[in-house]
Amino acid sequence: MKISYSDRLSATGYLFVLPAALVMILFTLYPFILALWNSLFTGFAQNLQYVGLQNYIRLFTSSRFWNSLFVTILFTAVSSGISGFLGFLAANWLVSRGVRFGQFFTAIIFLPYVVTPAIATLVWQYMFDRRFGILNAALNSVGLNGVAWLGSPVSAMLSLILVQVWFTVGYNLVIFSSGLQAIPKDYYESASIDGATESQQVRLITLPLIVPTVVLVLVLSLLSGFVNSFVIAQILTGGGPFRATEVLMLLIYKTAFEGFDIPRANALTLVMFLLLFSTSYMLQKWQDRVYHGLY
Amino acid sequence: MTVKNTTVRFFVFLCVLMIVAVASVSAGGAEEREDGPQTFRMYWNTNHRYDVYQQVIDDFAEEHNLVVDLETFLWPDMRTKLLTDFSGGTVPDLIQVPAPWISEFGANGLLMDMTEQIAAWPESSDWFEPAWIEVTSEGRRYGMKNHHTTFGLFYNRDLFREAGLDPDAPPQSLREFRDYMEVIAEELGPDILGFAFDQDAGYLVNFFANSDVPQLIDDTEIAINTPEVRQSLEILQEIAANEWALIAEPGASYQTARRAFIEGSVAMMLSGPWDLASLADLAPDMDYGIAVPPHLEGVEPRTIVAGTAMGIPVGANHSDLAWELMQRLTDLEIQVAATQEAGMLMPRQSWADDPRVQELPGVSDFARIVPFAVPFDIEAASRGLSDIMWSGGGGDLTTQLYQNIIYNRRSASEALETYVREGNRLLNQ
Amino acid sequence: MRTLTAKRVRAYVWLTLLCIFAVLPVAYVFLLALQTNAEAAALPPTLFPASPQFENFSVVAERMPLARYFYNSVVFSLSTTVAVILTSLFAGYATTKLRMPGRRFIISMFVGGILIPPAIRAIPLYTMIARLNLVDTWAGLSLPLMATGFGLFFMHQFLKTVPDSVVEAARIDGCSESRIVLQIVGPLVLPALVTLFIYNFLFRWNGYLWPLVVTRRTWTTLPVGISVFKTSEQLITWNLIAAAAVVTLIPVLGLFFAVGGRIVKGIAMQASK
Repeated sequence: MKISYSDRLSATGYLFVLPAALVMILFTLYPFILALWNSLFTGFAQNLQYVGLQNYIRLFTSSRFWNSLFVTILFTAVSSGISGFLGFLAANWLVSRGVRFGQFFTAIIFLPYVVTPAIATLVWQYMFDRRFGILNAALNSVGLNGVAWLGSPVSAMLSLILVQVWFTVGYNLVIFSSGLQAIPKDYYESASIDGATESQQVRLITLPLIVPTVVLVLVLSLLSGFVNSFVIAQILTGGGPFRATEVLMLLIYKTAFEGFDIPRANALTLVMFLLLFSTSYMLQKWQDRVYHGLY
Repeated sequence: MTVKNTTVRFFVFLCVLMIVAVASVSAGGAEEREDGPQTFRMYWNTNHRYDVYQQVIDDFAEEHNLVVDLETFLWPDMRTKLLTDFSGGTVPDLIQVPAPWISEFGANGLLMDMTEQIAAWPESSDWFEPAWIEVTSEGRRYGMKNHHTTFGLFYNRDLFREAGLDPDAPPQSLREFRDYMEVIAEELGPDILGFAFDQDAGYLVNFFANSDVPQLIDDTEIAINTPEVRQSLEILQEIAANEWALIAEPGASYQTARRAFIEGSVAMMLSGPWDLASLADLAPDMDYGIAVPPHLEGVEPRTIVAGTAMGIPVGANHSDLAWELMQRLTDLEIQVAATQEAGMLMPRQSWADDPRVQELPGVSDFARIVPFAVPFDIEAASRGLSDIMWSGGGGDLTTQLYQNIIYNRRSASEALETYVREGNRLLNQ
Repeated sequence: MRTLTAKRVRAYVWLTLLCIFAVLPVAYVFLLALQTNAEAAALPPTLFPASPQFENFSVVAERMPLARYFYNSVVFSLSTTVAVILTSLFAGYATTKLRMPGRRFIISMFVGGILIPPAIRAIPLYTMIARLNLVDTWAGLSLPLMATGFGLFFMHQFLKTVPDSVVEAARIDGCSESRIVLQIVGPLVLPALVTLFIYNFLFRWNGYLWPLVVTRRTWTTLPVGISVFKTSEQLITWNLIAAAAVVTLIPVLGLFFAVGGRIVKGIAMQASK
């Protein structure tokens, strides 16, 4: 029997995928499956007892979990919204108003994205400090009273969001700039000949055409919101006050490492994974519908 | 063109990075680990790495022809490391952890039961009795304390004078504490305040013990559900609500209160001997005193024990050697030397009686207090109820109660009720 | 025309404000690192040090083997990143140009991998590494990160844009598949590879949990090593905390200033997919 050319190509394909797939299966998927299996038990290390879905039931009946879920969604939604909006505005200025030194501005605003999150957040925490922080010092110097930035549930959440916006706004700016640059200039020219104002142009031309960019920004914000939320909440507030900033990632960490309840932490993780997965999937579907509906 | 330039710069960056890395390591002298002698692994708290201990460890290593791998961590990272080590079966030979962890780990079967060894060791009778309670779970001892500390009320005499208070009469009762605070806020505020609440809920525990509650758990019930505790909490909430005290924010480090005290922007703080060294270092001229934390009227003053203990994980490669090193590290002479070096308090009676300890300022104040210190929530630890624990940063329910007091959301009695209700539920699960 | 100018001015003002917002914390940590103990403790807080205290760095270096941590971080970040580039390039080439059956499944496996939170892998993964006796070795630290879901996804998206005709022409010339990857497709997508390099390097350099868990004294990385300065129960003045932070930040900032434009373009490439 002769081995066909395309079979040979396929074989090469599997060979080429092999190193990456091995690492992924061994070191990501297999531990993940072990973690899921572990979520059906209770106890520690060698003293495990099978309890079926009890960890999940306990989870869904725990107000702490629902609080965390709410806090996570709030944090992610508001910070993505603000950061995306600011990024879009800035990109729009850069692209449509012919601002000079665009590269320079973009690079500077992007800078926070490369800074080690743990360190940047620590610095923010110090800046927020009620007594020693430079933010309150600045307020005092213009005659205003200092604020307990992290001392009340609402202001603590807003402070967290501020830091996340700081991290991501430059990144969103870059993505939006490229999305905007891809829109042909003559669309705008003919629109302004027809007498459309700038805001009309944005609403009628720009927004519909950058739906894929918006979705990309949302998916990426979602991911970075989940990942960053842990570092930010852990360092800025430790989840407080009154669990107002106890995001899911932090709850998972506390459950595992402070409470030594690894099975429960694993159950939490699965719930979070499903949440992330379904949200990004739905966003993708939404993009397909809206975007392809236009043509 | 731009791509090319970037690529060139990129490779320049790579080269520079590698050169710096290699140069820095050859300058710093990378440690080469030779084969041959066996490795003895131990975990130690970063802040407790004293020269005198290093000397003991070096001697120990030389005598037994060992390489001692001493890894140091702060508590949160130490817990992460231990959790993964217990799961992965790669435990170190000796650990130094907050004392309640010993009974917690012991109850989970993760630490060696050392009851017999300790009983057979004559020097164990020299230990303060409460020091053994802390490392015990269901009658078995899983380690031994090596630092036996307690809390004290630090007060700044100069600020007392400035506010017109007697610099030699620190507040004794909680009521006095509150009144002092009001005076200081009126005379010196708002830039200078009477007290600083830490972010760590555990520090509140002093006020429970001083409200006539010796133990968190009384068999099957949370024991802090008393009118006295409620009264204490209400006074504290009043202090916080009137902004007579500096209130650390929830994610703040221990720095906030300490720094405020050292800079003279608060007149009192609750802390332990671990701060004596930084006080001497950063505020050498400060005139301060140390008193027993304030107690409720008509109640016998108490203090709470804190500190660290050593234990040997199950599955350690060198458990006999670890036991020997534990004894050597807690030798009286070593303890005295560690006190002289770092101001740390130790669990031996003969240490407290030692003239060299008694002549150290600051330390001697604590040395007077420490024999009367009692453990508070050790049973919660050995039952694995981390949510209601006070030591080690405070569990979740503890933190909720504390934050309700200092950020003044719900009334003290409501918050206490929630803690007790949830705590009892956990206890009887 | 006047309105456009006014709008442009407004745009400059807003962009400048955004820039200040972005730079402030980074600039502040550098200023703090150069202050004296007294300046770092002063109230109200000082911004500019009277005379820069470079010895803060040597104080930090005295307390820990900073050079060793730095070296470890560089070796770990570089080696895993080079490996990720190679594995992703080959895997991406396979899923886009070799069209073997099951490739959709492979891609979704990798994409799913992106969504698995790293914290939860840490414990079972550590147990595996411990069984393999690789704790505190370069291999134990680096092997699990030699391929990432993000890497494959990124290269897959990018290689889709390379015309098949390029590959087919090379095959007709008698090139082997691995030669095509390394000598033809690789150079063609060099910008994407550089972008992936930068991302991956940043992720690894900034990582904390995994290096903490899997290293002991030999392979401790910089973020883990300097964490002592973060949450000590003893008072450490902020100038020293900042000095330790600056040591960690310098390489990423160096990378940023060397190839900042490339990072920015890299994101744009992703976005235009």
